[in-house]
Amino acid sequence: MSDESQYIEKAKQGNHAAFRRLYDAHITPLYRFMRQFEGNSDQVEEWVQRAFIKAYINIGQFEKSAKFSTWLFRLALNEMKMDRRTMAIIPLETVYDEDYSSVNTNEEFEWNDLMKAWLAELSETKRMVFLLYEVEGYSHAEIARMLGLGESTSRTILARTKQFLQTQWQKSREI
Amino acid sequence: MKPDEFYRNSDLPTPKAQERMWNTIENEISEKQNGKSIFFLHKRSFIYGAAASIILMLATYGMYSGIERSLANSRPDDIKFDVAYRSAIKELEKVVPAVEKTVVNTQNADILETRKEQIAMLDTEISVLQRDSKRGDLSGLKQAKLRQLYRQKLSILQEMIENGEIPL
Repeated sequence: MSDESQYIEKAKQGNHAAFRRLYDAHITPLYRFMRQFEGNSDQVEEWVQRAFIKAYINIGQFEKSAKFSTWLFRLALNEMKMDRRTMAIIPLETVYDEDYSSVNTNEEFEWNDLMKAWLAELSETKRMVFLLYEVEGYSHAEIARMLGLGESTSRTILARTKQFLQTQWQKSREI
Repeated sequence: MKPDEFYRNSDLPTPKAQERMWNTIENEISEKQNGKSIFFLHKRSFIYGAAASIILMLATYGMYSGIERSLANSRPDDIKFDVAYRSAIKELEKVVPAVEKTVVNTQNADILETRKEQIAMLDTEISVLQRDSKRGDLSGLKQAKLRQLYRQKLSILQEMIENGEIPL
């Protein structure tokens, strides 16, 4: 049994110290990811706190086969979506599964720091898929579960996002 | 790409912020846990209490229903709103079980699962506030929060219908 699984089992029995270990392991990745979608750090703290509280309350239902971080990210994203829905800041994007077979998902891609500005122009869903896959290292299956998308949709969104960044990069070099 | 190549220092939580967040989380989970243990410690008293309450409730039911009828037309707007929201949600929920049977095996299963999770979370929060409401412990702020939760739930169900996630 891994350390994390042991902490989860102990947290299920109400052990706060074990839950603190889980918190320490996941707070930074979760916070830095959520920070990309909200300028107000107090709001980010609020979502992150609520996600951890819900994780603790519902940890009894957490399946051993699942990944704790995937579950935690999904809880935090749900908190963000619910608040945004209430505040009506932006309409939630609905992404439908389509036939994306024409999109080349194997194209080579090299990150450049300049791309950050172009990435910021894209929709939240596109940025989320890109960050979760390219930066945080999640699989498309995990991203699909977190964002409520089809796995193929996640692949296509990533390919299109990379394509867009690559094109912008080439354009900037031609100037 | 490594996370360090993408994120700036300003994207990371400071040690102070991490500690502050943990303190809030720990306070919250301790409160909830204490509530739970008190419930189990006093389970027997709770059961006797509940039985006594049921007897009292039955005895006062006749009286209450008469008062309820006479007050129905003079209810404050807040209560009318709550009743209206609850009945609207009940009507929409009548079609929800159909979704689980029809969508669960399709590529929309993930979306459905997320929706179900959102609704379950809202239900939990709504039931807590409804309990307070029944105890008469519902401040103006809590009433506003309850209505906000009803609105969120309605909007999720509405969105599910509009997106065709619920076959009509």
